[in-house]
Amino acid sequence: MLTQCTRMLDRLGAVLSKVLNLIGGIALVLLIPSFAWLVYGRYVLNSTPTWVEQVSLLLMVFITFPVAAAGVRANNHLAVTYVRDSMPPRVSAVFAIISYVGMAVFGYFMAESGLMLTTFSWTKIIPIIHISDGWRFIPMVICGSGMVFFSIVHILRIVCGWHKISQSAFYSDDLLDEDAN
Amino acid sequence: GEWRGWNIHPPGYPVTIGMEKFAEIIKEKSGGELSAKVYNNGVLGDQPDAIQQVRLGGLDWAEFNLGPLGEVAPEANVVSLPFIFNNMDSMHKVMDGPVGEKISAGLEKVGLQPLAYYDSGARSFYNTKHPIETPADMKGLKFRVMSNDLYVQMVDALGGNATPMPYGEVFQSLKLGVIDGAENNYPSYDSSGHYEAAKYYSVTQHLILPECLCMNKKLYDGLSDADKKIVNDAAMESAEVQRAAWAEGAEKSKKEVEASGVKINEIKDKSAFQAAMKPIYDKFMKENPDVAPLVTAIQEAQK
Amino acid sequence: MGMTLLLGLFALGIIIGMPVAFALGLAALSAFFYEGLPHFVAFQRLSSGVGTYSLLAIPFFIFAGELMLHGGIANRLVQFATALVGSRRGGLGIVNVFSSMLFGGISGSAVADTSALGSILIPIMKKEGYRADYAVNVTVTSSIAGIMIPPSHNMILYAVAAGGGISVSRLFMAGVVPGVLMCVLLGFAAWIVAVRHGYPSVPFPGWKVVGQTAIRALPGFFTAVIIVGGVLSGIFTVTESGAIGVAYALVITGLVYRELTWAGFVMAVRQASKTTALVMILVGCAAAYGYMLAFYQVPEALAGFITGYTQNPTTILLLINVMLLVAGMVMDMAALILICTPIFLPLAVQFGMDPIQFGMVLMMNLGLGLCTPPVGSCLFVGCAIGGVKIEKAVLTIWPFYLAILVALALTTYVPAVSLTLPNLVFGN
Ligand code: NA
Ligand code: NA
Repeated sequence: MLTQCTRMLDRLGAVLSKVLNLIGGIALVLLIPSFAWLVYGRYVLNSTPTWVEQVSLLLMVFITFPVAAAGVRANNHLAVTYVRDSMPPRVSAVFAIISYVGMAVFGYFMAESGLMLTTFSWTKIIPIIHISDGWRFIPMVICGSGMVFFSIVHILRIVCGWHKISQSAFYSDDLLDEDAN
Repeated sequence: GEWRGWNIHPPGYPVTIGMEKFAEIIKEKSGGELSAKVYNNGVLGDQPDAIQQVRLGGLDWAEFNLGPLGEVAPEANVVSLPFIFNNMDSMHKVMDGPVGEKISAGLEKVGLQPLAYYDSGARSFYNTKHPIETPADMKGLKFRVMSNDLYVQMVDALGGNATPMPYGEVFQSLKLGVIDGAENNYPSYDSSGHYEAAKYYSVTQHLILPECLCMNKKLYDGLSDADKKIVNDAAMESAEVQRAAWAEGAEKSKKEVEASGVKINEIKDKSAFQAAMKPIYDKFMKENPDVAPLVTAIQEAQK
Repeated sequence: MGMTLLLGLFALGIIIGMPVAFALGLAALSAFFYEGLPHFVAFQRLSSGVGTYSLLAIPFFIFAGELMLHGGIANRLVQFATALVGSRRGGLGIVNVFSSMLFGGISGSAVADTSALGSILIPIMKKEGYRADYAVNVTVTSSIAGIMIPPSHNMILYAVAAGGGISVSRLFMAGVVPGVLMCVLLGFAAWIVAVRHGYPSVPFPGWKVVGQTAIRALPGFFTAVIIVGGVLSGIFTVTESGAIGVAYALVITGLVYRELTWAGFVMAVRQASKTTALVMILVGCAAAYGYMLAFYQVPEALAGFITGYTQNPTTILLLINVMLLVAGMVMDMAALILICTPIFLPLAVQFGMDPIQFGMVLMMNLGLGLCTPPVGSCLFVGCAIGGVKIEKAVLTIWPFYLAILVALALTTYVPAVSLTLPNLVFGN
């Protein structure tokens, strides 16, 4: 029952992380023409497009937070797993669970604070581009919620595969019978 | 507990001296019951973040420029209208009168309790090409301005090419010709080293932005009347210290840049510059009808 | 107590294998709660750390590097280097170092350098009779050149961590001499070891082939010329030059070399956005952590502790080097730049070191850490490509460590190594 539920959540997570990566990728690609236009405007049109600075900062936030959340699922954040890997499998699994709990807690407060900052800044307008300052914090709400979700799925996966945990198994994708990546 | 105060400037800067004076006085007058600490160099965040923190109680007190405060309180934005003050003296006169009170009321509405107004001098244009005597001299020059619609509109209205850019990139950009000029007060022009790259400083004084020593409104409202008086008196006294230190520093910086070969030119008649601002004022008053009377009041007070 | 919580929880998070970014964030958050500060401030700092204008160049440099990897620029550089210096004794070792100098000059990332050049060069070297551990050692140690030779996104990270008062253009120029010095010393080490083992050389193909490979490699190499040249000439700011570099690399790999496929482009975008996100979330969390470091005045406390122990500048610089080296051995570069700069820079400056020079010392130390166990991403990638066990590679790597340490000592104690060129170009 628990295993089935985990598998379902994991499949949902796979779709979710694709969407998050897509948002980040599009934001990254959009940065290039923005800056090309900036340089073109300054030298050729002799009229610098003033919106690029603010828009690019916004794009940066939209690259970082969604993709960072997807990174929690893919376990590709910079981490020092040396100590954990040299522990007996069960101990290292406990380490992993604690670390995911920590990340879920951090993610929860990130989402909560992000929401608070979004609503608080909603009436403030970003100069030059005239959109709500709240947009700057929305990606943080997405990232925080994503972190909570992905961390919980990771914990469930470890718990489900507890009986056959081996070295580093908790960050490989074949812990459950079916690879849901 | 100890009030945590935000300050963007380094130790020894006029604002820092003023804030430290404030902390010293309230501690002494309250017999140690009130105490405040200053965190210098903006270590607790950049200015827009710090404004948010004071409003929400993450910081207890701070010293902010009215430029960025204008983003959260439209009343404060009025002083960002270019050429609204004739000179430093008339700015003081206006801010210490009923207009200052209206601006304070606007800041109170967003959770900030203004205690006193500090100085940040007058900002003028400097560039690498030639002195600016009339708006025509700005034609085609690329000027760095802060990210604020009014400043961008100002440069464009004067015929220049407004280029918002982070402050840290300005020196290199001036040196290498990415931009032709920028604008600031004497002490910043001096300490940033921009005077080494841009040798023409033209005293347009287009922006005379006061700064505001303020604290979290809730914290202030919770004080006893006696404590409020201590705080207000200390703020006023610290403002005097800050304004004196500022004037002295500005004079010293002016002498220093002049000695290094900077060409400073005064502008006798600013009316051509002011006339070019008309569409900006009209647009601003149309978009902010609530604060339009404030603009008129400032203009009247200086007649 | 609060300071202990801040430092202890971070250490604990690292030990149990929590990602560095979130270990920093969680430790900072706990300190916020402990001190009764509103915790939204931690996330406001995080958000502002990510949205820092000067860091916008980072995604561009990373993106450019990815395009070079997937679009055929890297292998053309290797072909050119092989034609030019491959005929020396043990020539492929020197080719490896020389390629790193050229490639690192564009990607600015040591790990990208290792994976790009390693996957081309290590198999060739093995086929020509070089031992696998030698091939891996040369590849990973010379990849540090990519950090030193401009452009380099790690230097931008350093400039931001230092508080934004340091010019990135100056840092770029400052890296040239130490970077080349390091390459010369590494090339020398590669040559000596190769001669002792009697490694072969490839036959010299003739100047015509050298010329041909140079012409083929030139358009790709021009990406670096555009980025660095654009900054130095003042046509672009650092950020703009990164964007223009990417646009140029797209044109070269897609239209001139015609090796960049749609799939390759998508892969480059994915990799670049991933690396960007991982670095930037680290920057953000370090900003939240930095708030509490400032709150507890940790840098001042550490400086007081060290200066209470000794006042001798030579000893203090040595001490800083040792601490950075040890830190570099157990953690990764980007995180350490963000954590160590606010702590050690004031101390180094207090003892007469220029912030630019300190940047070079920091880069070299942390770069060396990328090639050491227990945690060294370049070493890991190199060993994986070469099919060598880490324990085995490390047994024969010491001549290369020695070369880097010599370069490090010169950079630490001779300010002119880092400062002459930027002063020459930009004035004092
Ligand atoms: Na580089
Ligand atoms: Na390392």
